[in-house]
Order: sequence, then structure tokens, then C-alpha cells
Amino acid sequence: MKEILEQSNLRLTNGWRMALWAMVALGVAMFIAGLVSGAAQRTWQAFLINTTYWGGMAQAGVMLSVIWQITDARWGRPFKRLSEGYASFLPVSLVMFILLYFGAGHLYEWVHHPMHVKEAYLNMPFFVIRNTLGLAVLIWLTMVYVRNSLAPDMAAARKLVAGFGGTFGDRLLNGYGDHKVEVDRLELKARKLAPALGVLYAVVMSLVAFDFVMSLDQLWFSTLFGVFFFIGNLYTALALMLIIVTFTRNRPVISEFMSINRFNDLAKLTFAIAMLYTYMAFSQFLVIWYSNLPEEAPFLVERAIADTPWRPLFWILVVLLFVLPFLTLATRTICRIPKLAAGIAFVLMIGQWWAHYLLIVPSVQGSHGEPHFVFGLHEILLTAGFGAGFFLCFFWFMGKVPLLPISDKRLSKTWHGH
Amino acid sequence: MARTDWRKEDDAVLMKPIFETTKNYYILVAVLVTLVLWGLISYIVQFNSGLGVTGMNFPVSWAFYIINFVFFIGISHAGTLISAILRLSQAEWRRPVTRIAEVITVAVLGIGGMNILIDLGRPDRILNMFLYGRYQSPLLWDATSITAYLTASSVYLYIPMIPDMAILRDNCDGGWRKVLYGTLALGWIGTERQHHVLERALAMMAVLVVPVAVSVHTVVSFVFSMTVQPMWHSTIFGPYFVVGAIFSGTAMLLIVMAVLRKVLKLEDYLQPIHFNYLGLIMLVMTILWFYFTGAEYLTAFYGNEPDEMRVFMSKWGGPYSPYFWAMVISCFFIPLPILAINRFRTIKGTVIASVFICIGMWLERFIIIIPTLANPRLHQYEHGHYAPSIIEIGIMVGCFALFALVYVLFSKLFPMVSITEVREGRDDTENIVLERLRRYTPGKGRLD
Repeated sequence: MKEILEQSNLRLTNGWRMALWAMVALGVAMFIAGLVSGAAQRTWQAFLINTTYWGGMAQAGVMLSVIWQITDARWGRPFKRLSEGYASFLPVSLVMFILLYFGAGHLYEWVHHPMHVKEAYLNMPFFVIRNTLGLAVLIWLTMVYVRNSLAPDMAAARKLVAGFGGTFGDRLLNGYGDHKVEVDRLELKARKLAPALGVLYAVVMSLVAFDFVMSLDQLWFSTLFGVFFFIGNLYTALALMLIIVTFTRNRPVISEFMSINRFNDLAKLTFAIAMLYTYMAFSQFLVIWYSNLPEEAPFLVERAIADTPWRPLFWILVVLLFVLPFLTLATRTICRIPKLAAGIAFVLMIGQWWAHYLLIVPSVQGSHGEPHFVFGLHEILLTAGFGAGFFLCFFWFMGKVPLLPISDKRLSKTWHGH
Repeated sequence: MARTDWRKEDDAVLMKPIFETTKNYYILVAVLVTLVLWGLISYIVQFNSGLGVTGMNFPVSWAFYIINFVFFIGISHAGTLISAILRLSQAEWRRPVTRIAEVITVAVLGIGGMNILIDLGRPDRILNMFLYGRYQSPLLWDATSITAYLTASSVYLYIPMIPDMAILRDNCDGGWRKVLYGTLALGWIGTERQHHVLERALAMMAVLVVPVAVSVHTVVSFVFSMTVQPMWHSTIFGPYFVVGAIFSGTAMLLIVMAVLRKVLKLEDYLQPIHFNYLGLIMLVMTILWFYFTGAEYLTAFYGNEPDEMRVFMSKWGGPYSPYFWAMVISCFFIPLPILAINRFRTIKGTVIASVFICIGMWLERFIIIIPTLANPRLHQYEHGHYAPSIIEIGIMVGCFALFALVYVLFSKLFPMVSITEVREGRDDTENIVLERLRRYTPGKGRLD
């Protein structure tokens, strides 16, 4: 046990931390510069891409832990804490979503010219109320879940290493009773929390997908869009997980838990989610293409068929997000070479970013003249800022907690056999 | 008891229904045959007089037969898909369940496909599908994927049955049974090589069957969603149908399991825990179903297209609202508490929930098909209506009776719980589980 705690110092070196802070600063500077320099729409658009991308991914990352909790899966236990680490970005992402309300006028056509029949749903007050409420409840419940899962580990860690986790640990263990009693009580609580969180995730993320992304084009609608969106986020979260695990599993002791078999399982799950995502995309776009209805077809035609700058991107994404994982992650060999799998996962993450881009940018440009491809400093610096912010939060969290859920019975069972 | 004694015990219980036939069995078969005959006579009447004897009309040109088609194909997802997933995820508790599930698939796929033939005024024209099929048409995709699924499921049912056939061959005294089992056993004597080949084949089929099964109901949904009919044309239909199919299939599986458990005295093999686990799967499907239904209807409401809204309103508060709400209640509000509360997730509880789900899912197909046809995009047929005729009811009863009959006859010829699987479970489970545990245990898999 103690060895695990000694290896639980997933911290950034000072150099990295400075670099990440610098990237955040650049992102903020770019954001402000973009707004005052008259490129407000483009800035907000990049902001929206990154909020849905990083915010969606952070939420989806925690859902992995929730899924393992619901399914009682033993193989996923060593990654549970890493998955909960994603939650550290959630408060930031809530702020980002709220900031987006101020840019709504630049992004959403319905703010100024609402369609009559949709006015009852697409109006600013209702938009703000339902999304703030939905996201706040989801994030609050996620925090309760993470705290619930973390507390017994922290208590167990403190028995071995006094003062583990510092003031963060103090606050976490406020009101924590007898360890044995608490472990059982919190496990029972997790059993109730996890399914509730799963349902809430699906509902709130569908809402986010509909409101923040689908309503950019207020005429278009697709019933599958919510699922498509949150499965995409799970896809990104798993890809990042593969990368993080690849770098974490080298440590002594930890490597015995994050064994190659378990890494293989994680890669297989990524493959499965990639196929599910493809299925969602295919069954959505084929139906739209085939029926060719005037209110929905333009969405697809503009992106995949007509001669626009988006068409090559669409087909590149088909290769990146479907063909690539299909050919690589389906094989046992590649799933068992962590560095290679992580490299592929990195490409998948980039692919998902562009998938968000492709959903958002053509709709924002909408009827404002010819569609034109934009990618430059605005997008790069804002993305870097968001990414750096995510990793700062993630490592802040990981630096204070035990890397493995040491009090989880489903982990320790195999451990005691040692 | 020693392992060999257990084996005798197992064999005796599992083979008993095959070699001993009670009077009740003949009565049951007679009743089912009568019902099937009712359906057959109804069909002959329809065949001679044309589809005019049904309740179908303009614009409601698809009705009971298509509903049953979708329903039966949906049920078929219980078997092969669930069995394959349980096999792939190495769930040990699957052993007594797989065969029961796989037989459902093969039986209902045939009946589902038959409903398409029944729906045709000129059934011989089905040949045109093969002679002049147009690959642009979802109907051809349907025919393709259902045939593929039927082939794959039959193979998938048959492969694990081979060792059982050998056991039966060695246990019967002669006569036609000996010939039948001998032929089906393909010379199985249980050598190491035979086991190896069988396992390879089974593992490959289990992987292949999953995408095929998913494609089947996706393509069935395309028959609707590729049209421009209001509330048929919906991007969610593929996954929505797949979820609904697994949902209703699991429910049917639970009902069949409960019946077999009582009738064939398999209480020792199909235990409460099997119902409990399948109940959990069904709970997840209940929630997913509700989410998808919500996404489908609320998004249609948000889209607010006039044509769609007419259909929407006819379900929500119009003439079809009783069926719509009955569907929602029996697919969600009744099963949810039963399946979610541990105390209720018993054999009785899951079966009650399953019955409601089967009815609810049949209504779901009704509520998808009929209101849309009655309110098509072209307004001149605005006031379509539909009520089934006695012929359609007869054929529907015949179909359900045929399903039961096929099942009953199958259980007379073959063991419904795989003898081999049960043996393997007794002999090897311990080692299999230990082996798997070793893969995960730190310290090079030492468990001592």
C-alpha cells in the first residue's frame, strides 16, 4: 500500500507548470484581443469549440469511473482515479459555458431573428436558465460522486503517511467517521449515485448538444444528435486516458496494477466506443442523405457533398475517426504496445477536435457569405489555453490524491493475494 | 457428490424432457396446432380473396403484418445477441441461458420474415427482390441483413449443439433418433482437436454475430426512416430500434425461461440469479428506451414541422393517445420500479415486467407505424383510419402460436439447456475464473 502512495506524486515539474500557465495566459490574451479587435464572431466560435470539446471530455472522463462503478468491473479499477481526475476541470468548464452566454449574440442566429415556431424554446432567458441549471446540477452531483469515492482512499492513505494530501485532504475528510463503517456506507452511496449520474449525464449532455451546438442552425434538427455528441465526448476521454495511462504505468508498483492486459482492455473499450461513434454518425447521416429533405439535407450537403472547404475535412475525419481505429485498435498487437496505441489515441483526440470544429463552424458562418475555412492564431491559442487549463487542473488534483483507489475492495482483493 | 455423480444427475434432468413425453405435452401441441391452423385458414382466405379482407386501406397500407414483422425481428435480438455478448464477456452465469436464447432467435426470424410474405397480395413477387433487386432500396438491405442474420444465428445455434448431439446419440437406444443425432453430431467424439476447432468457430461466430445483429434492426428501421413520412423520418431510428429490439427480446427471453423452468423442471439450472442479472440488463434497456423515446418525441416537438406535428398530436392527445400512453406506462413506468428495486427483481417480478414490456413494445411498433400512415405528408389522405379485421387477428394469433409450437417441438428433440455447457461449468469454471484472475493479479499472477 505504502508503495502505491510513494508513487502517487503525479505532479508537473516547475518548467511544465510555467509553460502551461504561459499557454493559459496566451489563450486569455488571445480571447481578449480577439474580442476587442473586431473578430468577435471568430473568437467566440473558437471558444465554443473548445468549451464543448474540453468541457464535454472532462465530464465524459468521470463517466468512465461511473460506468466501472455501475458494472462492477474489476479490470477498470486501476484507472478509476485517473478518470476522476478529469472532474477537476469541471468547475472551470462551468464558468466557460456561462461565459458563452455573453457571446450568444455572435453565434446563434435565433438571438436576433428567432423562428416563430421555435421562439418558445429558443429564447435567451430560457436558454440560460435550463443550461445553467442542468450543468450546475450535473457538475455538483459529479463532485459529490468523486468526493464520495475519494474520501475512504484519502483516509486509508493518511493512516500510512501522516498528512497525505495536505489541506485538500483535511477538507475532504471533514466529518469522516470510523474508516470501516465509512467504507461500506460510501460504497452503498456510490451504488445509488452512479446510476443517477449516468442518467443525468445523458440528459444534460443531450441538452448541451441540442442547445449549444444543434441550435446554431435553428432550422436543422436531428433526433440522434444528443447521443452522437456525448458518445463523441466519451471517445475523446478514452483516447486521452490511453495517453495518460501510457505515461503513468511505467512507475514501479503501479505498473503491476496497470498491467498490459488491463491496458489492452482499455484500448479495446476505445475501439468499441469508436465503432459506436461511427455507427451513430452513419445511421444519422445516411438517413439525412437518403431522404434529402429541404430542412435537414443542407446541413450534410454543405459539409460532405457540395464543393465547400468542409468537404475534404469531412472525409479526412471519416478516415481519422473510423478507418484508423478500425485498422489499428482492432488488433491485439497494437493494443499491447502502449506507446503506439497512445500515438494513435493522440490522432483520435485531434480528430475529435476537428469533429467539433466541423459541427460548429459551418453553422456559425451560416448565411454570412461564402463558406471560408478559418484556422489560425485564434483557434490555436484558444485551444492551447483550454488544453493547458485542463492539464493544470488535472495535475493539481492528481498531485494530492492516491493514484489508485486503495480502499476499493475490487482493487484490494487481487492485491491481498500478492 | 463426486463430479461424475453430478454429471449423471445433470444428464438425467436435462435429457428427461426429450425421452419422456407426458399427456399434457400432446394436449399443448394439439392446442397450438389448432391455433396455427386458424392462422393458416385465415391466410388461405386472404390469399384467395386478396388483401381486401384485411383492415388495410388507403392510406394505411401497412398494418398488423408489418407490426408483427418488426416485433418478431425485434424479439430475435434476445437470443443470438445476448448469448454472443455474454460469451464474449465471459459471463459464467450464461451457461444455462444461451441455448434457450438462441432458439428464440432462429424461430422468430423465420416467422418475422414470413410476415412480409403474408403482407404481399402476390407473395410470388418476393422473387422479384432477388431477380431485380435495387440496391438503393432499404427493402433489399432488409432482405440481405435478415438472411445474413438467420444464417449466422442458425450456425451459431448449431455449433455449440454438436457435442450435445453426440451425448444424445450415445444415450438413445436406436431408431430414428439415433440416425438424427448421429447425423447432427458430425462424428463428434470429443478429441482435443475437435474441441479446439469448435471453440475457435464459436469464438469467431460470437464476434461476427454482434455487428450483424445490430445491422439487422438498424436496417429494419431504415425502411421507415429513409422515407420522408412525418415521424418516420428520424435520425434516431437506427439505435432506437436496436435498443427496442434488445429490450423486447430480453423480456421475451425471461418469459420463455420462466415457462421452461416450470414445465421442464429446470429450477436447479435457471436460478433466481439468472433472472436477476437479465433483469438488470432489462433495467438498463428500460432507461435507454425511455431516453430514446424522449429524444425522438421531444426533438420532433422542437423541430415543430407542421406535418410532423399532426402525427405527434394524434399520438400525444389524439385518437392514438390511449395506445401511446399505454406504451409509455407498460414500457417504462411499470417495469422501472420492479426492476430497479432489488426486492422486486425476483423471478415473479421480472416476468411481470417482461409481460408488460412485450405488450408495450408491440404497441410501440403499432404507434410508430399506424399514426404516420393515417396522417401522411400528402394531405389528401388526412383522415386515414385503421382497424384490424378478423383475418389479421387470426393470422397474428397463428404467428404467435407457431412461435410457441416451434419452440415446443424443438424442446422435444433437443435439450433446452446445453448439457455440454453445464458439464463444462461444473468441471472447468473454477480453472477458467482462476486463470482470468491470474491475468490481473499483480506479482506475476500469484494467488496463493
